[in-house]
Order: sequence, then structure tokens, then C-alpha cells
Amino acid sequence: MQKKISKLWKQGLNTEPEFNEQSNARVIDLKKQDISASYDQNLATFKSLFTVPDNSDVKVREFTITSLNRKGFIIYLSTMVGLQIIIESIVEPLIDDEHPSEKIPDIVSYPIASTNTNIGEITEFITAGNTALFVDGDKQCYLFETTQISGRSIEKSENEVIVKGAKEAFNERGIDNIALIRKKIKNENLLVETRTIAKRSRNNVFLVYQKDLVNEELLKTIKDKLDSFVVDSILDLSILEQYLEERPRSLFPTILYTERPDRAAAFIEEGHIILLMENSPACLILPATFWTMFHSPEDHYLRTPYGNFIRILRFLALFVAVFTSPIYIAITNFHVGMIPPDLLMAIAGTRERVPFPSIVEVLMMEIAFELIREAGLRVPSPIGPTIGIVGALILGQAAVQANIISPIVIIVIALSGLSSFIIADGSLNFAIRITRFLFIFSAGFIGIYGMMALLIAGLFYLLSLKSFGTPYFAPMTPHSFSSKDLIIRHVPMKERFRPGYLKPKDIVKQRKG
Amino acid sequence: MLKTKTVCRLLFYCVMICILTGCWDREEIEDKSYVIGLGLDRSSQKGKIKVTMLLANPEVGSIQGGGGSTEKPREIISFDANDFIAAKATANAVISRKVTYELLKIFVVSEDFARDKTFPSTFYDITKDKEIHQNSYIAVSKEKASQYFIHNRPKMETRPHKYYQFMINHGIENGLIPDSTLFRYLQTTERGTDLFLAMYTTAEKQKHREIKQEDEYMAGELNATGELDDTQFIGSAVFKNGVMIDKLNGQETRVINILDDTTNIKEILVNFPNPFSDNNKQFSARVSKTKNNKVRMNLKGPKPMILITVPLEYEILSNPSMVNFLKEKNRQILKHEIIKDVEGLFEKVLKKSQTQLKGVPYPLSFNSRRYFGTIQQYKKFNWAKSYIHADIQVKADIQIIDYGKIIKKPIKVGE
Repeated sequence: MQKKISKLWKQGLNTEPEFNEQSNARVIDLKKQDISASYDQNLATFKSLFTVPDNSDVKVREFTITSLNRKGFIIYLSTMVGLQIIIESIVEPLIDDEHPSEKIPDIVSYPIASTNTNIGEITEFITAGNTALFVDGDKQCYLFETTQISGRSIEKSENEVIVKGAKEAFNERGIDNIALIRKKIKNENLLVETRTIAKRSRNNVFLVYQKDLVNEELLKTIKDKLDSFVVDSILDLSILEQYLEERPRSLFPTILYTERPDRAAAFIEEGHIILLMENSPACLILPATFWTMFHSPEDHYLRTPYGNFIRILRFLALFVAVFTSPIYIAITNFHVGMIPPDLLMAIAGTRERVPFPSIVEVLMMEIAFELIREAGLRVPSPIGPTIGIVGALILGQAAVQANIISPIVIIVIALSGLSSFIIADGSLNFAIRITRFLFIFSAGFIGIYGMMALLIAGLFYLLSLKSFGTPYFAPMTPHSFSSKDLIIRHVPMKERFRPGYLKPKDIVKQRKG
Repeated sequence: MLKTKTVCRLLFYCVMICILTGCWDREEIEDKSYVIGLGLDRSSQKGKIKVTMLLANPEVGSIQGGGGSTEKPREIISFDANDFIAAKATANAVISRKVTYELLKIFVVSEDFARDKTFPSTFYDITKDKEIHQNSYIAVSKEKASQYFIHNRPKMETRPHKYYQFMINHGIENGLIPDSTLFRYLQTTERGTDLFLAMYTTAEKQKHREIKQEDEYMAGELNATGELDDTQFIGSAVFKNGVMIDKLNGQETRVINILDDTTNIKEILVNFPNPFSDNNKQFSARVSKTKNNKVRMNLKGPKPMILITVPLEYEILSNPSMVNFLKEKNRQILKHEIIKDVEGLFEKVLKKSQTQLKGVPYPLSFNSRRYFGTIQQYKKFNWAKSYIHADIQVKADIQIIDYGKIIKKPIKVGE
């Protein structure tokens, strides 16, 4: 009995899975070796590595190279390459060319080529869509970059909609994404560095930054962090985001995730570092502060007064989204003397027939609103409009008529819900919506006092947040040198400095005169 | 170790906060019954008072999704109690919800009770209850307060809080009733040097009503006929040391309100005699006071001298004699007439305060304080006593900012 318990106890403590893993030491060992000069051995090695012929899209083509009069074979993944290119510029010259020649580069007309000898590396190239050519008697392998993957074309940005300014968004192809940034910043100092972060699926990350702006220390921190992952696969940028963050359990985001290349380019120009990934239609901007998430690119595209107008509106919306429902609860439950008698009478009159306490009422409507929101997002587009009708009509009108909800609560929820849509950044939006619930509970517990206590504690917490060493509210607090683009922005001519918290190599954006 | 200690301490504080201020004073808004007006009368039994509560029904006037309500907008209950704070509990024998003074707008005290020596000690309970706001008003009714609430049936604003809010706010703006908040009552009573004015009101029609000047009425005297509510708010009750001693009519109240820089009256409409012809047609004007009074005093001699300069701005609204004000001479005549009228009126009211009321009905003593070096000197001077013998002069600093539309050719009537 005691033994059983101790065994269970040990099992509970053990975090490693309990089964026997199969060793692939043989394959790992094989990958470290170089290829041999023997044609048959190479063919056998790669056929076994790629499990040909079971692996249906791995193609091996054997032929005789006419001009050399030697045997050779090419191996490629038919789903990742442009077949036309292989036929026209690799296979045809090798078979048809009858001029006596010594070297493969002289025969094959394909422009991008390299050579390699390591089996492991060659395998990696093939999986990335390259075509490998092995020649009998040759101790090296010729690799041609024939990658051609189909994907979405460049489309309009859907999640960060703006009226004035560029509309194009990142798509799933890394090359396209880099091109979108390159075409905005025509400078040889714009660097695109590649890092492999996952061992098994070999996911690449592109670091994009301006070499003559970015702070070396910051760059090193990010590179070290990227190199530190020991993980089999990170398939998407949004997962990488979670790996990178200092506090992944925190409510508030510390990395900016955007799908707009114009925004990415603007941040590169400020001295930030951008991370791109193959298969992810967005980029990560680091380090990010509260202000980077709070701002929208349109603030700068619009003329200064208009831009500031929508900024102030957004700032207001932030507070309305967080505080309307808690204030409603606090005032009606604790501080009745605070509101004008007319409003009080109106609230009391409409609440008279409602069976629930006001906190339950508000929570019910808040949850209903979140449900409508989530349902509207997931519903297939043909039945999308139905959700709107159901949401507005059934939950609003009918709930009031059935005396389940008082009409003032509908106004409160609609106002705070609507305001929460104005916060454009997806992560910050979630953060605001969840904090609202915390505030509702605190207001229901001890009124305005509780709200303020939570607000102060929350501000303390936010100030403690850091994104790659940058404080969350920089450059407002702690104060640092910047062009003061915080709650309001100045005319572009006055924005003369890059943010000081990044410590860029060149802080002045525009000189005077 | 230090960390655990800190965390433990923080948790302890959190728990403490919860114990200190939990949700035990949380109450649903519709669970309460809101008292808008509180009437205080002398009780037939000694040592008790008669409390009248005017309760508002929140359901009336607010739009309902599920069908309208046929309930009455108000409920009035009167009963005898020891004081009006414990009366809240007693009222629950009749009222279904918890009675609260959170929205208490007006205290109505019957004139009979206000003149009682025991009134201040009863009324000082207003400082004890945290639900009673210091910006509620105190009014004196000619009849019993219990009768006043019953007879007061506003035709337009059936919801009581709205009626009192409008009535009081506009009355104060016009200067016909004083700004008699509880705060001012407490302040004046505790200062003891001057008098407090409370608004005077009645819901009773007076039998014989005569026609007077536009503001010379007391509540109940204005002969208004038609389909209306009989309640009138005009004039004021004078309190000395918290007890009512006298009354002032609308005109006198207005004068005091103009003299008093601590109340905020807006522009008021007045009539004044016509200096250009002998007929009874009077000029009307809009008077506004944008600057504070200048008060100079000489308190050294046996008879203190007080000189008050009142800056007033006049806008002439009517011109019954069709006078051409383009002529400087006519302007001067008009100005002199206004100055004569204002100075005469003001000095008359202040004279009345010296002889009849034996005290100044607004905080004029504030201005005298700066003439003394120490509090002892000021106390020795005894403002309340000295004021009665003071020689008060009022100087009107009149500025006519608008003469109205000038008609060059007077319209000849009857030709």
C-alpha cells in the first residue's frame, strides 16, 4: 500500500514523459558525414533519407550527362519547385548538350547555384525546395535554388483598416514580405538576417533592421534570445511572439504584432528591429511600448489636427471601455448621492422590475456582448448578418421587454463595447476587455474605492513591465529623449528625434534648417 | 524569506481593507425610497416633532419598456417622532422600501415651529446624518409643513424632485428668494454676528390680495389666477441665532441678495420710476452685477461708518415716454433717477435691518474683520451690537450698458 502511494507520488512529481524514445542516432550520424564520390552510394543514401519511393513527392531522376559521358541524378521535392525551370535550364542542357565540357556550371544555365558536400546540409537545402545534382565521380553536390511555392498574393490589410494611406498587407511568403519592406526603404544598410530557430522543422526567422541605426546591445539581446530556443518547431510568428516575451502570462502585450508593412518600415526607420517568418502574414516589432500599441498609423497619415482628434478620441475610448460599466455599478450600489436626481430616478425606475442585482445584470450583458463578438468572428460569412440581428434585437430589445435587463445597462454595455473596438491592436484590445471584468468585480466589491485601488495597483504593474529592456510607458515615464509622440503628436517637421529609449546610433531624424 | 514576509504582509493588508470597507453598505438602487422634501412641525406632544416626508416614486416619468405605470408620482406621510433621523426607521412601518435622505432637496419648516426656541436644537440633527447633504435647502412655510406638502400639487412637474429643483434654482437666480442652504444656516448660526435668510413659501391663497410693485410681494400675496398650482416662493424668513424672528418681502430679499457677494444671482428684471413724465408708466430694465461690492468702513469712532459701493449694470428694456437717448442730457437724467432709486431702496432696507431686525442679514461682518489686528480686538468691538448704531451709506455705481432700441420718431398715440 505504502509502496503504491510513494510510486504515485513519484509519478506526480515527474515531469518527463514515461516511455521509451526511439533512437535515431544512426541518421544523425549519417547527416554529419560527407557525400562520397560513388554514384550508387549517394543514390542509396538519399533514397533512404527521403524514404523514396514511399514519399510520393520526392522525385529522383537518373540520366547520363552527354557531354561528360557520366551518370548523374537530380533529387527534388516536386511540390516545392518550379518544374518548368528544372526541365528547361537543368535537365535539358545536361542531356542534350553534346559539346565536350569538363564542368557542370558550364553546362547548366540556371543562374543561382552553389555546391555542398555535407549530407545533412544538402538534405536541408532539398527540403527548402532546392534541386540537388549528383554526378558520378564528383565529390560535391550542385544545388540550384528552384524554390517555387504557391501562396496568397499581396492583399489589402483586413485587421488594421485605415482610410488614408497604404493598403497592402504582409502575406504568407517571406520573400514577398521582405520585398514589401525593401521597396519602402531603399538603403543598403537595411539588413535581412536569417536565423533558424527550430531544429526539426527548421523554421527560419528574418531579422530586419537598419544596420546604421539599431543599437548593437539590443540586437545582441534579441539574437541571443532567438538562439536560446531548444525546440523542435515554431510554426508561426504568433507562437514565436509568446516565446520571446518576458512575461508570457501577463495581460498586457509587450511585442507589437502588425500586418502592415508601412508600419514595419516606419519602425525600422526609428531603430526598432522587425522579425518576419515564412508562412506568417505579419511581423513582430520589438521592443514595443504601450504607445506603439495605442497608436495607429493613420494618426500620422492624417493632418495634424485630425490625427490628434482621433488620438484623443481613442484615449477617451480607452477609459470609456474600461470604466463605464464599473462606474455604473459603483455609483448605483455605493455612491447614490453622486449622480443627479433625475438620472438616479431614471435608473431606479427602470431597475424596479429587474430581478437581478445590478452586478449580475452587468456581467450578464458583458458576457452576452463578448459572445456576440466571438460568434460574429467565427461564423461563416453567409450567415454573418444573422448574428447582428440576433445580437441587437434579441439581446437588446427583448431582454429589456422581458424585464431581465434595464435599458440603462444596455446603453452602458453598448458604449463600453463600442469603445473597445476603437483600440485597434488585437492584443491590447484583449487586455482592455479582460481588465474591464476585473474592474467590474472590484467596483462591485467596494465601489469607486475598489476601482481606484485596482487602477493604482494596475498602473504600478504596468510600469514594471519591460519589453527587451524598454519600460512600458517610455518615453513618458521614465522620461527619455524623443519627439514627444505620445498622447498627441506634433507636426512632422517638429518630430526631429528617434526615440531615446532605443539608444539608436543616430538619434536625429531631421536637422534644423 | 524576506519575500514571503512581504507577500504575507500584503495579503494581510488586503484582508484588512476588506474588513474595513466591505460590500456591506452596498445597496441596490431600487431598494430605497427617496425622500425629496422633509417637513418639520411642532408636535401636539411636548418634546416631539411632527415629521412629514415627501417621497418620490422613481417609476413615474421614466420610460418603461414593459408597459406604462399608473402609480402616483409621490407619497406623503406625516407622523410624530423624536427626531427626523430615527423617523426613517419608523417610516418603514408605512413605506415598503428603505427610507433614505440621499436625495433630500428641501427642508420645509412651519413658521410656527421655526419661531420656537427649541427649533435649532432639533434642526441641528442635519449635521449628524451623513446622508443629508449640506447643499439642501431650508424653507419656511406659512402653514403647517404637513399641510404644505399636501396642498402643493404642481401641474407641470409632477415629479417632486424636479419641481423643487427648478423652483428653487430660478427663484435664487431672480433674487426673489435667498440661497438658503443648510451650509449657510450652520455657518451663520455658528458665527452669531449676522442673520440668516431662509426662503419663504406657502401653498395657501391669501384672502385679500392687493396689487403691488413687481417684487414687493410675500409668498401667498401674489394674485395669480388661472389653472395653476397655488404654491408661491417669494420673500424670506429671517433667522437670528437659528430661530426665526421676522420676514422680508421679495423686494427686500432681492436687495439683500444684490448686496451679498457670496450668493450668485443672475441678471434680474426690475421696474423703476419714470423721470421724464408724471404718468405711472415705469421703465423696465435688466440689472446684472458682474463685480463685487466695495466696502469701506471706519470703525474707530463711537459711531461706525460704513460705505458700500454697489456696481450694477443696467440694460434698459422699455421706453414708455419714447425718450430719445441719443441726447446726453436724457441719459444723465435717467442715470440720476436710477441712482436715486437704488440708493434710496438699499438704504431703506439696511435701515430696516438696523432698527427692526437688529442685525445684518448677510455676512457683512467679513468686510469688517480686516480692520482689526487680532481676534480679541474684533470680539471686543462686538460687530452685532455696533452694526445697529452704524452710519451706513450706499453708493450705487450705475453703468447703463444698453439703452435699448432707439426710435427717433416717437409714435404719436391718439392723433
